Amino acid sequence: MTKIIASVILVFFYLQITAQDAREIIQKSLDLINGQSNQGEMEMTLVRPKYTRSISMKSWSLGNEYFLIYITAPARDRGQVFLKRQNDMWNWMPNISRMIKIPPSMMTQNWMGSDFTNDDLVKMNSLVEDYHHKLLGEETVEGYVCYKIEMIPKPQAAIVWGKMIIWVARDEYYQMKAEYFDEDFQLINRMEASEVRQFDDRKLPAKLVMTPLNKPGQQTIMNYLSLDFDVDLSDSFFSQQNMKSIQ
Amino acid sequence: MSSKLTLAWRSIWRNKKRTYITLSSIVFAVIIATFMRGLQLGSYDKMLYDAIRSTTGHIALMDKSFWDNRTMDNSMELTPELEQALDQDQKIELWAPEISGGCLASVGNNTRGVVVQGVDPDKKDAQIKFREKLIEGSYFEHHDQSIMIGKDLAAFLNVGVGDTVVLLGQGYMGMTAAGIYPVKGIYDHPMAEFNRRMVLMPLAAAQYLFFLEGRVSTVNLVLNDADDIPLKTEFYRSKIDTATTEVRNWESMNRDMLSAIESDNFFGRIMIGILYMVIGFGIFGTILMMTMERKREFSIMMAIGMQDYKVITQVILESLFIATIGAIVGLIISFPIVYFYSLNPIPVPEESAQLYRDLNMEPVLSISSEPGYMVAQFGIVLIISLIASIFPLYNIMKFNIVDIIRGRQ
Repeated sequence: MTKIIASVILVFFYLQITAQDAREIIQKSLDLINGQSNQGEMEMTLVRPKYTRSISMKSWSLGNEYFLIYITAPARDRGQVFLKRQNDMWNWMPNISRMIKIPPSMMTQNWMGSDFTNDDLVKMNSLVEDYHHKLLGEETVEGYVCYKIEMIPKPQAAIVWGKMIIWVARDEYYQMKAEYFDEDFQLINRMEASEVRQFDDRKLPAKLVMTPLNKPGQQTIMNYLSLDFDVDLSDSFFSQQNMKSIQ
Repeated sequence: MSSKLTLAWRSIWRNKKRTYITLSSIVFAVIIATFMRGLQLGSYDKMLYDAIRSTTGHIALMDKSFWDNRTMDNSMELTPELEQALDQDQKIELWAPEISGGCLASVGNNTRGVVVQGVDPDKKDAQIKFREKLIEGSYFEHHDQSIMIGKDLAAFLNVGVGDTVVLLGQGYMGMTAAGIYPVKGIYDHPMAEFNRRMVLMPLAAAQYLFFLEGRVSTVNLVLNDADDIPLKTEFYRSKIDTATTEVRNWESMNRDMLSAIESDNFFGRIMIGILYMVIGFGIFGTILMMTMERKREFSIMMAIGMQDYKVITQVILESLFIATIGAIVGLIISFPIVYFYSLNPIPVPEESAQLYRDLNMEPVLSISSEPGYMVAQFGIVLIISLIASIFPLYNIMKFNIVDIIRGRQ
């Protein structure tokens, strides 16, 4: 009897450890990507069956709470700003002088016609807090040995995915690959990272490709052109006032 | 033959009352049937005519994916060559390029989802007499960067002529389509949806808003003669890149309407069928009466050597006479009325007019004055009278002449 109890406790203990581990791995990978604060420039390319087009932007973020994106090209979209402040998100449209609040229900909408959702962009949901994590094993992705982590959303979290699987490089903590499943556990989107290079004080994949599997010929490629970490930013930078004046 | 006709003619007037009763029931039936059928066919014609003229055209050119997925990405290129071909085409009454896309229309704190349509102002006027529907402001011009909105939308957004409305939507290649536009005119369209959710702007302005330079959603062609549809379909198929673009005909674009018409038509036919069944029994009764009354007469004629088939022809001629006269009189009475109302559609009383508007129909009752269905009434009445005389004739053949003459039957 004692043996059984001991083994049950042991199993629980083991599960506890692995859960902690998976969660920590995700946390570490996020710390690597976000830093305390960061500032960057990126280019997003939309590949569609009928055309391809690019959007250029600058971004600033502070911790997990504050995030701001400024569109620099194409000309007609230039000046659009997206701001996330804690749990709220806004979109400033200079050509119609409108500040639009993006409600939580629109977090799963495509962002600027891409395959990234608003949520992917501003990371409204926390990969750490809003999911249960489970380490499934190790696999090699793009030459990196990765932890394969299954993430099931917590019931109260406002997440559309039924589950996610993320591959995080074991030694480098890069998020090399992610798969998004719907409520029926059908694979919907796949994100793949590649082209690791030096950004400021650290190395990171410079290219993210999001492929929706139910839409043939469609893809969104995000290229990081520059990223600076631990830059001097205060929360007052992430204000509606600043959205209108930022360049 | 002519003596037979004379004989039949005289026979039916031997009992005038009976003949008049039968005649009046036939006349009444023909009038009611013509009216019912005319209203039905007329409303179908009007629905289709309106749909073809104001929206789809007889044929339309569009991107292959547009019909199922009406986004800006599924727009088509309107090349100068195609435009030229359309302009020079003698068989086209009018062709209208069109852009349509969903947007949010917003003024202050009032926002509503609307359909923004980019149209050619002159062609839109030719299509639906749009200029007449203007109730405030002035009509838009080709180069305007302004919009026309329906009166219900104007009331909802609380705007008048000269006020600005923000439009926000998604343009070609997923770009953000956003702009501020002054209201140039406010219109009152008989269709409710038009007043509530439609924003019209000149084609060029819409092309700029949605990043569609040189592109349109559809090109709708209204032909002079619907018989040219196959010919023109072939012709424009040769003018476009068939890998990406297609030519659609109005049947495929108005499928919902056609199937609604088909089911409505089915029930309409049942109603008319019931009406004619009632009439049929009336005629049946008359003919039966006619033969029974004259049992003795027929029996004596047969006894002195007249063949049954001659008697039968006589009875048939008589019933055909009554039916023909009834149908002709019925048509003579109903035709002028139908014709008058086909030129002057009956306005629906205001209480039920709203229902029509909510169904996106103009609140008028139109009657078709196609001669075809009226002539059909004529044929139907004749056939009914023939069918109704089968039993009475069968009866004649079974006469027991001796018993009848002796008065035992």
